[in-house]
Amino acid sequence: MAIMTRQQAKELLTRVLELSEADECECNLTGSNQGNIRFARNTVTTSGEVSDVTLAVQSSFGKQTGAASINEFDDDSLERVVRRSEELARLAPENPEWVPLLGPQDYKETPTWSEATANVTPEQRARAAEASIAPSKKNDLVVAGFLDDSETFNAIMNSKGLFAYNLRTECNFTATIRTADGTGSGWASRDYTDVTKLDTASASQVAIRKSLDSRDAKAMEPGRYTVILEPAASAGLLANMVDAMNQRAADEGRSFLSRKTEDGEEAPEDKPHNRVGEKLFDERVTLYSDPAHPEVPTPAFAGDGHAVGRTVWIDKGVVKVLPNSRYWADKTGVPYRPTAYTGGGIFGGNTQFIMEGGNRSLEEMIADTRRGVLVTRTWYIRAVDPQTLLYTGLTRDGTFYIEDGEIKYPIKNFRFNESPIVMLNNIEELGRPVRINGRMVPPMKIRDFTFSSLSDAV
Amino acid sequence: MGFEYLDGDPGEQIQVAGANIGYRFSYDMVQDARDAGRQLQAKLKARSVEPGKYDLVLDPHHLMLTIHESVGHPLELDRVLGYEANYAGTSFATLDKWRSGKFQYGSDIVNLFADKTQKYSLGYVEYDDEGVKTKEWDLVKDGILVNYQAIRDQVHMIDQDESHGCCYAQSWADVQFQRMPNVSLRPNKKDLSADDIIADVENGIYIVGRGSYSIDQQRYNFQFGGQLFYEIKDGKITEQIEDVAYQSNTQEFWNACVAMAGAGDYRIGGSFFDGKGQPSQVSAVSHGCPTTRFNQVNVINTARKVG
Repeated sequence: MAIMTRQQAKELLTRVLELSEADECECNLTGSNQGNIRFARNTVTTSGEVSDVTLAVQSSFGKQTGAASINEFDDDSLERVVRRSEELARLAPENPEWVPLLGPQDYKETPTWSEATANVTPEQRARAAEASIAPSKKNDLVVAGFLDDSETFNAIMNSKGLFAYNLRTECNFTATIRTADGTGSGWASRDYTDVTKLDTASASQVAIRKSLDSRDAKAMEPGRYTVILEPAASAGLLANMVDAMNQRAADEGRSFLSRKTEDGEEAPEDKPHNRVGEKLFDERVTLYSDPAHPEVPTPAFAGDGHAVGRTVWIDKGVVKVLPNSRYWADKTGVPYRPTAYTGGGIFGGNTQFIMEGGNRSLEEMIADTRRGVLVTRTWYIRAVDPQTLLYTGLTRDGTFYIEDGEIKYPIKNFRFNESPIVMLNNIEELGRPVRINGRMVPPMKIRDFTFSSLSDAV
Repeated sequence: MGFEYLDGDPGEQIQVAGANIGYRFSYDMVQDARDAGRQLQAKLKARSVEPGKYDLVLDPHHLMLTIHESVGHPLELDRVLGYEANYAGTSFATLDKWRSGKFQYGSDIVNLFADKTQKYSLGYVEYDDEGVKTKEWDLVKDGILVNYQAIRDQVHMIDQDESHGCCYAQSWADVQFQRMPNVSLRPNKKDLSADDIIADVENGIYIVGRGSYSIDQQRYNFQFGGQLFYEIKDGKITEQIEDVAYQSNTQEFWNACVAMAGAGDYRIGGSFFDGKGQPSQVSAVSHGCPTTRFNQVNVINTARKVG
């Protein structure tokens, strides 16, 4: 049984802590049931379910720390994993950045769990795949897609009396629908906490339309264009930017948020040295995280069990605060700003964020665009320069030329070389945010977006 | 091989034009750290590249990832057939190109082969995850596309009756499927050194190390950076330069391959994190090659001021 209730998790972790002989001990327990179905060439290729639970024990003697993990929970196994973590702690050198464990915290309940998602059956997955395959076949198109769903619990308990527990669900659907001759390709994705919101048939209709409309794309000269980026087209650039928003990297001169040191000036040792408080983006850019957000809920605690609430990172274009570690927060005398724990599950490791936008839909934004390029999604994004946050990548699965408020014709995919900082300074309009990969991202109309070369890929 | 590869055996080192030490099967970490300090100092003062067409001389620890992206991935048969269309993508190297027997993947000196048998490589195993004995086979011979990477349930689609032995699953909880074996570039039969390759270049750039790598979902258009860039003028390395990335198209690029060093310069480099499949799985793979020259490749300048 991979899912434990709050009470079951508490009882197991209490038994583990009773075995501890270390100065401090912290236990993390994570379990999940994950199910999936994969299809390609208009037929199901693989499907499966995986259930597993892992206990990780971290012990400290002074500033020496060791960790061990196990997925068996009989008395002997528990004893073994605790002793192993203690042996490793005694072998480890002292960690100069060690911080003591946190005491008890107060957590808000967040709406992370859906009964329907927890109970998805293989038959439901097959029906969801069929709702994508059947219309693709009917249109003489070829679909490849993937649906996975998960129920995950996380529990943290430590020897200072902290206990945190969260149970959550997620589902994620993607479909790439191509013409049989390979001249057109469309794509759509949906992800939800509650699987009853997932309609794979309507998502597939979007991909089918893009696939048919993208046939026989014309080549357009690379250069700077006004673009309408669907949420999937900007989400990767935004995620990279958010991941780069780290106080220590900024203070140490390694990031786009580092403050330049004037000639002869010494960078301070124990104070922040970054661009917090500066307006770096258009004033319409507000970006925050909130574990209680109804559309993209997360656990209300960080990986160390610290309570996490709503945090505004960028407010009206001004960088307000940067995520940091407890060690770095203490060292530089600023409050500790962790991000919510999102490890495990389908979106393991993604930092949740919500970018505010406007009220208009993508279609309305297209309707009053005189000339521009509509980008469905971007792909293979890689950092070119971390200090200017310059990234390269390509458009994929539906790139179109817009003229006088209408999509005129499909165009060949572009490679872009662009920075999200430039992008978020060149905003024409932000539309209504939608959920993508556990985050809320608005469609964006951006001027002077840099495409550097053409790609023959469809 | 265990940690003995860290013994720093000088016999396994290759000095390239005084600019770089290439490590074969033994690594001197302290020497490399010392060199990195020196290279970093030079980077801070290095001139920014003038964009344009250059003859590129690529060190094996750079070229290995170019091979991975522009040869390894497009020749995975499941990608070619569309099984990976929703994730990593499909491939420009379609079956009709292979069937023609005339598809010029590269110039006629380009020979690319696959294997899971090279000693010290990350892909090395005796049997794959379906119990098939591993082997070596040609992918591109004298520049022509001749084969793909395929496993038991795929080989009949390319008129063959024996799995290539490259099936792999990352753990007990994952489905085994076709994964990239080692894919490598055969060295020149003549015993040329990296310096011999540089000596013929009038106006070029010598690139060392893996930088930023991005390629489209059918493996046509790519942009690759590096760690160290050296200007080559009239057969000699002059100075370290910066902000270099090259953009090309896979077929154009491999057809611009004009020279390569010999077996004495052949080195392998690898990645532990080749990603593929849904749910996504990682696999470890190596790529071997000698220092190799590509003519008239488009180089861009990646420096840009923001805010």
